[in-house]
Amino acid sequence: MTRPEDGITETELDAFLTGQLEAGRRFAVADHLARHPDLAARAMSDLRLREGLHLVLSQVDGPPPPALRQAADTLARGLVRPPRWPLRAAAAAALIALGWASEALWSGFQEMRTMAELRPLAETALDARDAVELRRSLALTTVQVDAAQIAERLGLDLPTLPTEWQVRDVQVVATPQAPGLALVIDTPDMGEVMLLSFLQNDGGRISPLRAFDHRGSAVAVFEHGPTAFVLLDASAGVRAEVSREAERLLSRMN
Amino acid sequence: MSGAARLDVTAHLEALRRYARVLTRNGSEADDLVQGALLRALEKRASFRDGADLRVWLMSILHNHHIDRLRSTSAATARETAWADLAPGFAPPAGEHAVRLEQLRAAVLTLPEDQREALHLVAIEGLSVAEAADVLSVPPGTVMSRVGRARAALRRWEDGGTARLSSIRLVGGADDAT
Repeated sequence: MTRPEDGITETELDAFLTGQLEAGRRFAVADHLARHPDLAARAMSDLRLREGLHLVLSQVDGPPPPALRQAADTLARGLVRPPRWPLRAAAAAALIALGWASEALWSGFQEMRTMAELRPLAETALDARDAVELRRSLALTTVQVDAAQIAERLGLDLPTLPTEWQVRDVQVVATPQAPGLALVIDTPDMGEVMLLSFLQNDGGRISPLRAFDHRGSAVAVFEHGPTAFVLLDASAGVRAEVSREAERLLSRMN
Repeated sequence: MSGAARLDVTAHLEALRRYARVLTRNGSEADDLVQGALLRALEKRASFRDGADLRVWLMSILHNHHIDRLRSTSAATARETAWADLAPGFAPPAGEHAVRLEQLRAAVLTLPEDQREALHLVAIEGLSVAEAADVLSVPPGTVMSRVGRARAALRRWEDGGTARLSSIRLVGGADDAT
């Protein structure tokens, strides 16, 4: 491939044409082409070829079949990058340690192990609430979004909300497992609550419905199929009330 | 807030479908190949390193899936020779140069597989030589020489009109004479 008499190689010329040659050699090749019209003409011919290739190989003959899109979505859910766990894990561990004694008052040892799994979910819901609040505080324009459509894209199974519940805000939020959907809802009985839903990768171990207090919020965690739900009442909510409303949502699953 | 972030696989779907068409030279077979590669990627997701290039990782899985499928089917050889009867799955060229462009595409798809793979990854998908080498599991020098041979063959094709490429597959540095 080397053309010693020219001082440049075929490989360098290719790299020049594909923009992959470092600056110093680019000048050397361009200089050489300027002094060798035959090679310059060939380089232009290569450029023509390059443009032709783009024209004939860039566009496929139709949109992807639905099954392909679905497979891409499924893979995207499986490839969720891990969250910044060290900090969150430390925070969760501290909270669990602090809350251990009071927790033991209303749940037996057997259930405490389950609580260790539940509390990170409550933390996730609080994170989601923070994300929604942050966006609200920045007064960013809320795009009119269709919660059902987003839920479908995320593979989430949402309950039919009671008609008197008013969805005030919808936001896609990060969760440790997969992108989640946070709905901020005005309810007649509890005031403003947040319903977080996300797909579980671990098959789900939080059944049956559990309600507990977490950092001043009343939290209910329940699941339906692969979808996990966290209902959060951050305004000094009453655990029994959140639990009852979560039961109601669970009974309204499609 | 936790930092979990969804990776946008859909954004690379078109690139995967294009490369699959260059590999299989058949539209519907190419989409089947992509579908299988996405499933395989899901199974192998633990091998995806944080910070790695998602496109290169997906292309590499697609490429290996194609090789495995070729190995597992005895029809591969027959298909290699009969591909011209099939629909390659690209949008038909338009405009005054449509006929010539159609011939150019046929010429590219007639190149030996190793050359058209390397050419496509570098010239169409814009992968660096190092990235293409990752996808193809060959040294970077091999990628460059395959691209060079592909270009030389197509240059010959352009010089010789619609002459069949099969007779000029083996070309080297001497081909740069005009």
